[in-house]
Amino acid sequence: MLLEVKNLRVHYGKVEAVKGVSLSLRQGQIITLIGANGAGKSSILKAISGLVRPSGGEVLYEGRRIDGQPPNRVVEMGIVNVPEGRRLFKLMTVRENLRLGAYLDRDSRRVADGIEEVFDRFPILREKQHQPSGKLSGGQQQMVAIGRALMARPKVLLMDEPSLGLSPKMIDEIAALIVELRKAGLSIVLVEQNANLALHLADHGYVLETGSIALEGPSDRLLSDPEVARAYLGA
Amino acid sequence: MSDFLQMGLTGVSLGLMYALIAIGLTLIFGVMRIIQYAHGEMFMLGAFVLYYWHAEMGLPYWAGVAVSAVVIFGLGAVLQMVLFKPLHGKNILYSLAVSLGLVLIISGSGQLIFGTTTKGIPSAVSGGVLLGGAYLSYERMVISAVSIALIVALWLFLRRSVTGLAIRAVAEDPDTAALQGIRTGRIHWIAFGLGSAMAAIAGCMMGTLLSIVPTMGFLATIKAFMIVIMGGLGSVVGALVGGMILGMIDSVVTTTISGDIALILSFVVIFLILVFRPSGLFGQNWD
Ligand SMILES: Nc1ncnc2c1ncn2[C@@H]1O[C@H](COP(=O)(O)OP(=O)(O)OP(=O)(O)O)[C@@H](O)[C@H]1O
Ligand SMILES: [Mg+2]
Repeated sequence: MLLEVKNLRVHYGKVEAVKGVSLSLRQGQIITLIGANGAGKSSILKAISGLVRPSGGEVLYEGRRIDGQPPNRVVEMGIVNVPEGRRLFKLMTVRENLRLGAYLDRDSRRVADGIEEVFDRFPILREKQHQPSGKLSGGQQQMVAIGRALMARPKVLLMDEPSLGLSPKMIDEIAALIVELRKAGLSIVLVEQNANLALHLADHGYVLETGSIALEGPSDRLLSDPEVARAYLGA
Repeated sequence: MSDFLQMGLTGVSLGLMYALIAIGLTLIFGVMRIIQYAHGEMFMLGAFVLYYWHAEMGLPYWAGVAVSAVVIFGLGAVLQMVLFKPLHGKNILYSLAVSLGLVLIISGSGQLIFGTTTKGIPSAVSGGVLLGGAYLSYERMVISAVSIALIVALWLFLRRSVTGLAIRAVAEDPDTAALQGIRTGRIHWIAFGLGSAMAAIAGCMMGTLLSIVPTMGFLATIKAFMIVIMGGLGSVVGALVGGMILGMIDSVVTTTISGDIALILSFVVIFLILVFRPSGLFGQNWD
């Protein structure tokens, strides 16, 4: 197993946001976490990234415990987070945002190549590279956010609601990109409120309700589950 | 005409020194979101390091400026790690109380150790040039040039170097900065050290142009805050522009009318700027 979360708990003060969640991600797989607002999806990703300290449970990466490690160590190991709402450095240029994605990379040659690779993937960003990233459209900002994460040359990508606030056309593009990234060998944890999209992309899905997993299984089975259809697919 | 040249150069050199202090303060605020009241004390200590190095021990002036910058960088970094780091993320009132305490401790022990008499730092450059009836000292010109060079160097550092980008990233969004692999704790002490060193260098220059006393930090802090509020919290360009405005008012109005009027006018200008631009000339809206 590449990444394994066992019985994870996250508290904010007295409030328990994640109540013993277990997940597993195999090499080359896409898993998805779906659930309503406030279910605890982002908290799980933040705990994996080391941004919040779990109050219980374990996170294992390639068999080693990584919970309690600071975010820079987690990034160094190859787990990179594309945060909810993109969270670009809006006052900084597109290029500077991409450069920061490779902050830990001491090889300036590889960093320069990485920026070119992102520009090849998203040609519009080459044109806008010197503009403040905050001036870009939502879809372009999502490209920068994903490009910035790819700059770290990750093995695991944690994507928090990449479709949020995007046009249907842009959502299709992001979906195609996710498929492509998986083909390129990345393993992905995809958090989504758009359950239909997420389950079509993922191999395995987890349905989160107020901090606990209510249901899990292969995506096609969840897609045909009447409960899921009623609660999350708007059927 | 000659008077204006004279006042202009005085205003510029004064403004640049104010800007150095204020840029240091705004850097510390931008990255850590704390109000560092003891910033003026770093300015004062920086001047005294140069005083002991150059005036007392007779060692070379410019090396002394560098030593002062390094020593105060170290002091700032240590203060951050020991005092402010444990308070990070807690109520801002805690760090406020600590920095106010530092003001009392540092300026109090400064008076005990350095004595309360006014001292001067002999200058490294002598002579000057008469230009249209105005006497422009080389010292003032060199000091202004050094201030400009430092501000440009800092600006380039923040734009071009990876550490500079990281400083700006932490200032804008610390969590997302951490997700890029940036150790935010390290950026905190670097920014605190750098900001303090800027104040120290300004102290060296002020001590050379005017004179030094252990209580001089207080007014420096007030001026720095006036500038930072005018220019916009966290903005380096704002601090530069704000510094120049304040320097010019101080120079021109003090010479032509009086120092009291200069201070009043400064507050009027700040008030007007804030009426039209509540977050300062170049400010962002910090939440
Ligand atoms: N920093 C915080 N401090 C206190 N409570 C928090 C904090 N972050 C999240 N919470 C709470 O924890 C719970 C889970 O939040 P989380 O952001 O993980 O949910 P989510 O599933 O990602 O929701 P959304 O779909 O809205 O992004 C919510 O009740 C939220 O209010
Ligand atoms: Mg969320």
